[in-house]
Amino acid sequence: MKAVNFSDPRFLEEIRTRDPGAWEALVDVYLPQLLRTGRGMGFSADEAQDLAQAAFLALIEGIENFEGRSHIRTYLFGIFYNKVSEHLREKQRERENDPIDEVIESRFDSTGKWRQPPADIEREVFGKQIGGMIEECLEGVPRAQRVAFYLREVEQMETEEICKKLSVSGTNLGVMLFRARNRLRECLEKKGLRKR
Amino acid sequence: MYRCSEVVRLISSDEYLTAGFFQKLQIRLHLALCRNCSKYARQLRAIAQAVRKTARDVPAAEVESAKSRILQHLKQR
Repeated sequence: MKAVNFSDPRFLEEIRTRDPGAWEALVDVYLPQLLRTGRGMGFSADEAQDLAQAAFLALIEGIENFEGRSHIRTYLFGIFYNKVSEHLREKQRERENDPIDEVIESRFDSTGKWRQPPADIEREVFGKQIGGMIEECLEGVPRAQRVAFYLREVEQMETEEICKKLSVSGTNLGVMLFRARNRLRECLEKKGLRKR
Repeated sequence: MYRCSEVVRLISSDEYLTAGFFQKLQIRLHLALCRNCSKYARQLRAIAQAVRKTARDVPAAEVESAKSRILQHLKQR
């Protein structure tokens, strides 16, 4: 495969005229990235593939609207995040009540001081032999919370950008991040204490 | 002065990012003085770092099968 400059106007023209070679080059480069992102967000292999496929199909269907003002990667990922957001709205809306809220509340006394301070989890997080722990704990994070957490901590997006991408309010995103982070921390702590 | 429970909420929800100058100062002061809260904050950073390390590429065979399916669909458009 020869290297392609995805910002080259000639390449973009080929994309617009639906040149099969140009599209294959696009899929070659960005499909692995989209799948990796989807898996990182907690989607199954099948779901990640469906989301990636939906993004590519939406891109080709609306390719006339792509004016090349942003990089095609940015444009494609924008569509992909839209698909993710649609999927979340269909499958899993953020609940008003989540058991993790109570778990956190119970850690403090009525004056807001730690009743049950955080235990050490350094071994659980960084230990080699128990490195799989964090992945197990990630599995326990509900989808929408995990997607929010992924965009914030792995993609390191600004919170405002995540709100736009997922069409959620700042307050809602805050709740999702609060729950995702505390769930992970609580899960690691629990697993760690059981090992001792 | 913020309570521990408030500091925990403000940092784990990223709300502290949009806090005003004075609020931020109070949160930092609390973290500097409170061993438990600073430990908690450090743990959240460590967890984020560990999660970043779990990100890995999808197996080539999986990419290939998805690729041929997607190219098939793209041809029909």
